[in-house]
Amino acid sequence: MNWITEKSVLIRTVEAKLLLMRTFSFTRLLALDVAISLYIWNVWAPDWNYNVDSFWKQTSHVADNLNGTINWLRDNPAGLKLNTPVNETLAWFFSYHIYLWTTFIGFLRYDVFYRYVTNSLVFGLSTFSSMIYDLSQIFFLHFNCFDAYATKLCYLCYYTLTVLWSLVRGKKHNPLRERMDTITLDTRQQFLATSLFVILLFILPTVFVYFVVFRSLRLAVSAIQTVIYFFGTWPFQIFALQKYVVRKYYGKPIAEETSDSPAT
Amino acid sequence: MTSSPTGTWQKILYRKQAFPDNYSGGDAQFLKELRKNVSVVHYDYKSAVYGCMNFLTHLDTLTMYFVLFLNILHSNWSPNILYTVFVSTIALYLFFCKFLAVVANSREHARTIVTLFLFAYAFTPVIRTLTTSISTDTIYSTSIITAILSCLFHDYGVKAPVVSYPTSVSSGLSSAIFLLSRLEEDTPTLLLLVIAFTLHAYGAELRNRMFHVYPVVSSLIFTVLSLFSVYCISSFSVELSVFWALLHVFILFVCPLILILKQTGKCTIHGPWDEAVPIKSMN
Repeated sequence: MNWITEKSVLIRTVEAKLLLMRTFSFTRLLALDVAISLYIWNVWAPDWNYNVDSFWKQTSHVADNLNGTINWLRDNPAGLKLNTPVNETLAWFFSYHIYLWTTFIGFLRYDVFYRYVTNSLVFGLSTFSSMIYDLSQIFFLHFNCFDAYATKLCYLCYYTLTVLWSLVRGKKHNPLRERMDTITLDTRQQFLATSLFVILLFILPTVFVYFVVFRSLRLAVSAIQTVIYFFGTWPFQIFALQKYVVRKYYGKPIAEETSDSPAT
Repeated sequence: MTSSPTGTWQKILYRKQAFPDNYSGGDAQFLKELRKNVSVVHYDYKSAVYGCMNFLTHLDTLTMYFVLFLNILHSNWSPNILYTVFVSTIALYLFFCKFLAVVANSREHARTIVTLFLFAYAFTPVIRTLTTSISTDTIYSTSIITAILSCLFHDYGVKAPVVSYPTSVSSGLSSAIFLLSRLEEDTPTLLLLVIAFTLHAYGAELRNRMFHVYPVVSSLIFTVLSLFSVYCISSFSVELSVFWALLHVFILFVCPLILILKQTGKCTIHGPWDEAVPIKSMN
């Protein structure tokens, strides 16, 4: 093993690079940051208007696709046995909310906004990305709302269904003793429990489909945001990585952190 | 610490005796406590037939419900028949409340009726459109399966561990709700829902009390009901109605006979090896 470590050029160069990273100061990282942003400025600035236009085209494309998905769900795709009235109601609700979202981002369509974003490139790629990240938070605010509604609804249905399922069998959860107790309901309670159970049982798939759609939308958005977040904070992350590397390869933390972090 | 003065073994734990721990008094002492057929109940043929009649009455009632539903669905019967059935169900319910219910409390019954109608009325449009996207065959088979499940857990006047009132009522009611989701209009749905609920929630108690209090009248009602159900089924399928009649004969006369013949072979033994059973006070 030792022999391989000594002979392999790859391992030796990687170690040398890690050593180099230690000497790479934060100022240099910032300089690199600004250099990259200036490069991007050079590439993008000549046809900035075109870029903004294509961004808006993409946005309306997203809205169209969302509406398309909801319309697709309206006519029971892939043999899904969705409940028609609930499906219609949810589709109407969510398409209205998408309409609200498009109206909302219409208000963001100011030139000055983009001038700020563009000019922030002067302060480096990380500042630019941070700005983009903050804007995207506002931009995709409604997606979190969609997901929150769908999740709440689905969870409510599911929870009620589990409770009613035990009621239908004549059982009840006893939180004090953490067990299922037998319970005898009177006839009208039994009637209500059973009717609600059957109704919710047939409604749950519909609600669940909407939950899946909006949860995946939110996950997709947060994946993009995570990437932007990385670019927004990358000098600090590299800096933190240096500390980590140093601690891992040289067995001791760098000077200012000795007091509160134990050596491994 | 000392053995008993006489030197004989006693069935006590609080004193040390001159016998090994697993000694139980020898064969004679041990088998003296052997008892046979302590809790075995021997049925006579008549009571067995009445029991089967009780069971078949429930089956016939359920069948009549299905027949009523199908005829209303296909508009074979006029809605007036449905109204008649509905009114007679309510009349039966009031009769049950007045004469047969163990605890007669008119205020409770009034509350039940009001709740039932309000919520049934509220749920009717939901139930009617619940399964529009699901195929009719699936709904029918699910409904039949839940109805059979309801029959399994139903109370036929015998205290058995499998009897469960909530499960029986719930599965019977869900079976009815599955069926009702095929209907087109609100009023028949509401009426049939109320009928189904009354049938499943109070049917068991009403029938058991009837068979207990008026056995002759009940058997007459049973005869009329079974003949009528055979007749009604024959309008859908003659083979099925013949099969249904044969099933009635088999369950009503042959099954009790099998029980009577087989019950002579009942043999249970009880003794000191049984696990302890706490003595419950009878009522």
